[in-house]
Amino acid sequence: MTTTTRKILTAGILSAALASGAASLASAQEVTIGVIGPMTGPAANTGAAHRQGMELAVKEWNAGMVETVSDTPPTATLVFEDSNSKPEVGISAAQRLMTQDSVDMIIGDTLHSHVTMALMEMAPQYGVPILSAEPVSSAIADKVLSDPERYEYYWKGNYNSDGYGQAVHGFYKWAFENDVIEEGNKQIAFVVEDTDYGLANAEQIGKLFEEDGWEVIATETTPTGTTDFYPQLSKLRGLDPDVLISVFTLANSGTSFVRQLDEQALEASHLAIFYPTRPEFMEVAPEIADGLIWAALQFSPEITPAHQEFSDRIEAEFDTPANYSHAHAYCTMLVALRAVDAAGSTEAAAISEEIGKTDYECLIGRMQFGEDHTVRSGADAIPVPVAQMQDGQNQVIWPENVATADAK
Amino acid sequence: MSSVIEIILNGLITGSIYALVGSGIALVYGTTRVLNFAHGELMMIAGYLVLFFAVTLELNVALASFLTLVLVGGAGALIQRATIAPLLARNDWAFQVIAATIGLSIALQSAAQLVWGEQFRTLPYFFSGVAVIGDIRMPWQRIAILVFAVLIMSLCAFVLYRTPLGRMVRATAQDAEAALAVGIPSGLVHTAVFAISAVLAGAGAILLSPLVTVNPWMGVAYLLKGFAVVILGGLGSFGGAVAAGFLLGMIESVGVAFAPTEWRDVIAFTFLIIVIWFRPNGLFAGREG
Repeated sequence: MTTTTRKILTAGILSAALASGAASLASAQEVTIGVIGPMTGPAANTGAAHRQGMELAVKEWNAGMVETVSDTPPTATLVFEDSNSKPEVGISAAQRLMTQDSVDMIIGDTLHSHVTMALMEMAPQYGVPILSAEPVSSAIADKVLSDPERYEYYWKGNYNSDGYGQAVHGFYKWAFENDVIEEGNKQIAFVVEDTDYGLANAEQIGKLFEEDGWEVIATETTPTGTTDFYPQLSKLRGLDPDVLISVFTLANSGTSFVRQLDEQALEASHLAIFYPTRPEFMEVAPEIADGLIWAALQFSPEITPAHQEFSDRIEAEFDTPANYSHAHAYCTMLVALRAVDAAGSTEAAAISEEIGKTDYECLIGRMQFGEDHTVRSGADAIPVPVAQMQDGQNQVIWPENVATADAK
Repeated sequence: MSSVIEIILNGLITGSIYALVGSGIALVYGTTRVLNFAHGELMMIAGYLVLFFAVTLELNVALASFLTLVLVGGAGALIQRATIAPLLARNDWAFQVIAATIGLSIALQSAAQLVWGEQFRTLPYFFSGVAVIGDIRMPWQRIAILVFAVLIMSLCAFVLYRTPLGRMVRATAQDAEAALAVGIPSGLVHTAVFAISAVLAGAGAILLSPLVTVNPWMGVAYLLKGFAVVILGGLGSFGGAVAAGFLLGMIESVGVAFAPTEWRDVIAFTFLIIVIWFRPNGLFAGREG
């Protein structure tokens, strides 16, 4: 190799290295984030709330209205795709986002665990970071733990089902010890939707109760969107459980369940999971749900000034008050943007590393990820308080240190 | 004993809705050989209409229901004239009609989401209170579903088997060209059948709306059960669909009582497969003129 050739090669390599660095720096100035959620189908109302929460986060980020990591944060652009609550539709959406829109990162699924279970497989395949939003199924975290290398670029933006499990179990343990609720014959029953979300919650809660000597006498799983629970409730009345847990993601299922439970006059202590967060449920709640115990009251404008202030911003922007899904989507998007900002690059490995380092106090709590790439729950992270509908208003009744009212 | 009675009642109530939906599909198929995949969306439109009249305009429930049935019947007729009738004039229309009604179904769902949004809406109970007999508890609203569904299907059967319109429908179902030759306006009969079918779907929606919520996708689940009922009862048999609707509801109710709910559809569709195995044309095929 002649000296001239060596010089040309060296210059070429240096130029390439500089160009690469310049591209990385340039790309960090702009980031395109693809969002996959249920924009149509039965869960479209939640998808719409996610979209609004994320749009507000990006608007405020781009306008410099929120705290950034660096002094030169990237400008963000969002591209939304519909999962229609179906894994196969979510996969097609991710392929479009990665191949046609060349997104730097994906937030998806915004709601469903079963869609996320499919989407998370795309992270290693395409080398694009994926951060899910509201899904909680522990099965997702179990997959990450089973093969951390494979799921290096996948992160779960909500806590695991055991967050609910520990909250529900902790609440009842406290309630039995303090004579708030009678323990009875130690029999627990579940009516849950047949999704990873519903099943994982039932499994986690059931396991904790069984460790205390309880018996799971029924786990009735119903298709998403079910509204006729009379066959199940007739059966449960015969079984006479002491505690009944219901888990649905759709408000119409929850509304029907609570109304029909009242009509059937079951004597069990009933605790609802998730659906009371939906505004459609709350619209009819004063009529059907007085005394209802539910988890988890993480967004409460009526008793938390910061939440009210956020709700006002959402209302000003979209002409609708905020709910928990708005708040969670807002925080998820800020976690993503802060990671890109901290990475100073749109490289998948750099963004992924920064997501793992997240320690961010947001509306719904302190966002930190564990070894299973999942947001942590608990008093020092994201709290999972148990609430009760009292006189048309939600009150936190557990843990005692944050309770806004006594349990009735 | 009380639990057995509750199982039967639950089965009859669920079955009455399946029967209402299925009989509408069967009526159209029996007369025109068209499988209407947009039948569930006629339910959805009726749900929104009764909400509009009863909640937004605060009309009397009976008047709101009557107006809803008239309008949804008209929508059924319009769909037939605008979408189905032109295709029936072509050769090999069977697949084209399926594609057209599936397309219409998706379009109507999207249109509903655009017009009414993705929020779920609820209609207040028409009948308040719970009937309590011994250990049996049943809300009057659910009992009303059963009573009105039976009345509506009886009225429909009366029209089909005891009136001139019914004779024209049955003649057209047997041979549309022969019926035309003897002066029966087969095209109009087809339109009338679509309207009646839409009214049946609308009646199901009105009865169900206080129990379920009205949303753009409310018809999808019932369409699937409606088709199961039509196959079980015998393709095109109105009476067969009614009987199969009640039978399917009962099987589901008994299934839930003795097995976890996740087995409900497995039990129902296993029964359907067994029936098709032994009676490929359904339980009641060939028993009607």
